[in-house]
Amino acid sequence: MFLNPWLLFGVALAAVPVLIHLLLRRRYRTIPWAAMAFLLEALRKNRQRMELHDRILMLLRAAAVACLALALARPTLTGRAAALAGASSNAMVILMDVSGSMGCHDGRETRLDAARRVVKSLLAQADPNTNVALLAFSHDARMPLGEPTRNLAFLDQELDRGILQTDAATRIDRAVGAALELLRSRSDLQAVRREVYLLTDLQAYPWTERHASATFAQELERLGREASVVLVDVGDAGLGNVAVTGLDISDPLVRVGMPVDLSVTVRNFGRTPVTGLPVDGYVDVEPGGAPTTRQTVDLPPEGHAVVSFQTVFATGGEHRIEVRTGPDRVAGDNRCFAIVEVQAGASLLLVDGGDARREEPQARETAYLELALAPLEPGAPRPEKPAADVVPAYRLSERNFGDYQVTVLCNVARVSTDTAMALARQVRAGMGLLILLGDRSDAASLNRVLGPEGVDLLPAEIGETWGQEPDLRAPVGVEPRRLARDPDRLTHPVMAEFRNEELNELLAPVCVYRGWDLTPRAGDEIRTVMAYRDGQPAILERRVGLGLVMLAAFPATTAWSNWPTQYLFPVLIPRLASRLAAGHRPSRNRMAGEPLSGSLSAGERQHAVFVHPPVPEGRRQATVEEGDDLPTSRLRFRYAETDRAGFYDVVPDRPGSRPQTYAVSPNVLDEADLTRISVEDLRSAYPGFEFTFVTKDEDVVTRLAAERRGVEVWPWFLGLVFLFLGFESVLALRWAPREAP
Amino acid sequence: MARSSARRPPSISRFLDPRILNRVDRLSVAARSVVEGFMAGAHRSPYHGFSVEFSQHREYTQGDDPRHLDWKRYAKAGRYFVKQYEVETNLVAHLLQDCSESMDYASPRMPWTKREYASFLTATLAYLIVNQSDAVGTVLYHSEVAAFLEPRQSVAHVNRICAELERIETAPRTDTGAVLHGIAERIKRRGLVVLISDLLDRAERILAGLDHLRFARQEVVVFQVMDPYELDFPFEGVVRFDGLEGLGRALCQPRRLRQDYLESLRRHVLAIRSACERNRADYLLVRTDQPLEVALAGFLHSRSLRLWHR
Repeated sequence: MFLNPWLLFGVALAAVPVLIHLLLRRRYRTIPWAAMAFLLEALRKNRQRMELHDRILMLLRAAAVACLALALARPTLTGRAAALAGASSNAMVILMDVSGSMGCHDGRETRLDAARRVVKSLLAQADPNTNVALLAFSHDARMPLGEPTRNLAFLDQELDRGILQTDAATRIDRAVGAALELLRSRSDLQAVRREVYLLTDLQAYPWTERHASATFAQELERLGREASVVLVDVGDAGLGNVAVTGLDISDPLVRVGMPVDLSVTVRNFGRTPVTGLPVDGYVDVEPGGAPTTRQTVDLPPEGHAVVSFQTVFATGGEHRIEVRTGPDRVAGDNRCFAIVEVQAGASLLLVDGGDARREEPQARETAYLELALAPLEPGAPRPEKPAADVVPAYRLSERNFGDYQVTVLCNVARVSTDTAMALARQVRAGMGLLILLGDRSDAASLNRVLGPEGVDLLPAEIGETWGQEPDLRAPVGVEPRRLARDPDRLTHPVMAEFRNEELNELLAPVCVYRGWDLTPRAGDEIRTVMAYRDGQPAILERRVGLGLVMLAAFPATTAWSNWPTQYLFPVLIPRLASRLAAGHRPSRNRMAGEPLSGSLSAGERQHAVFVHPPVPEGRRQATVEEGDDLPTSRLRFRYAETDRAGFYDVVPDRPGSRPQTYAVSPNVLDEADLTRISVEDLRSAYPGFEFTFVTKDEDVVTRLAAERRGVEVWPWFLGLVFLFLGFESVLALRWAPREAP
Repeated sequence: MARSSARRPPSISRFLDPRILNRVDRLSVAARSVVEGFMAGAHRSPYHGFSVEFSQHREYTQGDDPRHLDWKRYAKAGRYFVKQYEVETNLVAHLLQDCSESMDYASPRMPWTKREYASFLTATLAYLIVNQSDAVGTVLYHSEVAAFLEPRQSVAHVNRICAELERIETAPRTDTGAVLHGIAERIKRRGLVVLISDLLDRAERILAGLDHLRFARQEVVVFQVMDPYELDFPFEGVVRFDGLEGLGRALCQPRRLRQDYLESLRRHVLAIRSACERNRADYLLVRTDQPLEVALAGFLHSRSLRLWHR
């Protein structure tokens, strides 16, 4: 078969050398000659040889012209002939979208089923000498069926169980990058014809700038040049979708017996309303069990609803939460998972640094904090108020800080070195530490013990005090410092919600008459939680290991400010406590595609760490490493194959180990939106990207038959041209008449 | 295309170029036999038994037999004169010139054909011989003798020779060998035979003829006259060679045959030269682009030196 058959006329030009030879013989001079005998003798001696040489040269020239014409006509070999030619007719790279949206069911099959069907037809019709690389991509691209292979039967056989649905988002740019890397680096994919098949449902968001790399457009263009790209649309239009897009737990400081509010956000991505949608909550329910709670919700078109339910945990430790809605065509995003860590006892330690001789409860340095953090009676309105243990400062060393999630030093004068080291150890392991400075604080001692020269916990150097204690009964003459309210200055996560106009008002009446100067230390791990209007920090935060340290310039009493008596105080304090309790530990709740990571005791070093994913069954080994940000007593493990939603148990391979459970929810932030991009919009957005568009219902192979032309053998003909011309040149030179001596 | 001598108006003196004659005037076409007799001191004509008659006086030149000095004339003129008899001379030369069709060839830019060049040579030699009071005869031939002029010793005879050179038409065939045989039989008196031809003929017949002449005790000088193109064969491209003297045609690329052609020619020339050497004949290959006086002077001078030093 010839790709340019109209150039075959050039083969006729092979007669040109013959014609030239004949024409030259007709164009001659005539000379009368006397020494004819010698000429005839020479002619007789050389006639046969000359005729042979002439014919050989003529043949070589004609063959060269014919081969050139054939090469330009681009001949191809297919089938066994191509195999005999020893070259792959095609190299194929198949990119299969296995993201969450590919689980969408059209009543007949899922999109992934359609993709498998198309791939099988491609494999069935491929030349037996084709090298095929099959990549499955969602948030990244992998080859689950191994390296590129010509064993097409194996690929066909393993397609159903080797290419599995994930709950992760779609990163087409990473798939394209992986394909380019394969085409560039793999010698077994260097074929005369290379094809890339991109099977996806043309969901719109992966093609937008926000979800693709900066070089995506260039990579698409390059892919179109490196290979023939076929975009196979396995999606369909007009489908709405309902998904669980959020599961929020009101307070990470959950204790046994404390009611916990769970908020479930359900969104309708379709254009038709949904009524009576069931939302089931499962709390520590085994698979197949009945839901703990059920509610129904109505969803407007392209709208959402929040369903809340409350639960009380009777025991401490990990608790599994699962939420499911009613079935629709995309089953994967109708679920959400979460892990709640419940504390068996109190999770806060308040250290009273005030005068121990004071007997009035309200005179304690911790009095207002206790009120702000005290749990409400059952039935009372929220907010969250965790319980706290209160100890005087002189008994601080008796406490085991490991029992608490947060320790608050209230106007503590100084801290011993041993206590400081214990605090530092626990902070680096994840405990939160709040230091409220007051009139009893020994700045020099605290700087020395808790600062860089000591255990290096403080986010700032404690300077001198400023202002004077106000007489709240007669505040005239004392100008206080007020808190910053500018939304641009409320950047800390705890203060972000105070940009809201209603909550922002709570900052206005707070007056600070006296406080400590804080000079923040340099470093990315230090942030300003709250500042005065003049920009000076009032509360600073520092990340230390897995924990957080906050340093406040004034106490939680009315001695130096009116803060504890303002509405801000009971709103802000629990939030600060929650943040300190959460610390810098990686969350147990992730989204599909996000790696799991956490810390282990260094004693686990010699043991492997295994992860039991929800699907498929079996265990996988996680990587374990040390971290510069970890205390020497801790190690970090990491596991990246979180394609499926569900619960992942991380278990060190040591007898008696206690597993840590992680919850992975479907990545529904964008994946649940099934809005598609049209081919026209795709071409418009990426004009340099050349591809053939095929739908899943077309006979892909027949449609592409014109594109499949077997192995091109024109290089051979071109090689023959050079060979013939080379021979002709050599022989012509060799047979050229030499000068007579 | 071969030059036709008929294109020029007949002129008796056309082949006697004064410039050439002026340059070769004092050279002697001496016969070896003459020198042998002189050197032997016999002072006798080797031609015993011939009747001789007083013909004329001529001035004494070195080598003349002093017995023939005319003392009476010396007393009168104060210079030496010898009496010349009809057949006194030691030299009777026969000039054999090829007039076949092959001699009519001339390459481009050559002003004369081989025949014209040969005619120049013949006339010049005749003049020299007569000028030194020797007798010269001419044989013009192709496949047979076309004209035979008996040797005479007069200027008028030279003119007759030139006239014959003009008159004789070219013939399409050559048989030098047969002519040489005929001459060997015909010429009774020992003398000098000068063959002027391109010798493009069968070598064995030519060699046999030379042998016959040598057997007849003739001294032979061979001038092989050839055109530069025949010697160099510089043709390019595709050429059809039409053979003169009916030797056929050949369409070829001359460049591809050049080497073998020249080799064949070389063997032919070598055969002629070897035969000449074997028969103690002088041989000179003359190119028609070579000035005649240069060729002739060089030949005569070297011949004179060789004769005197033998």
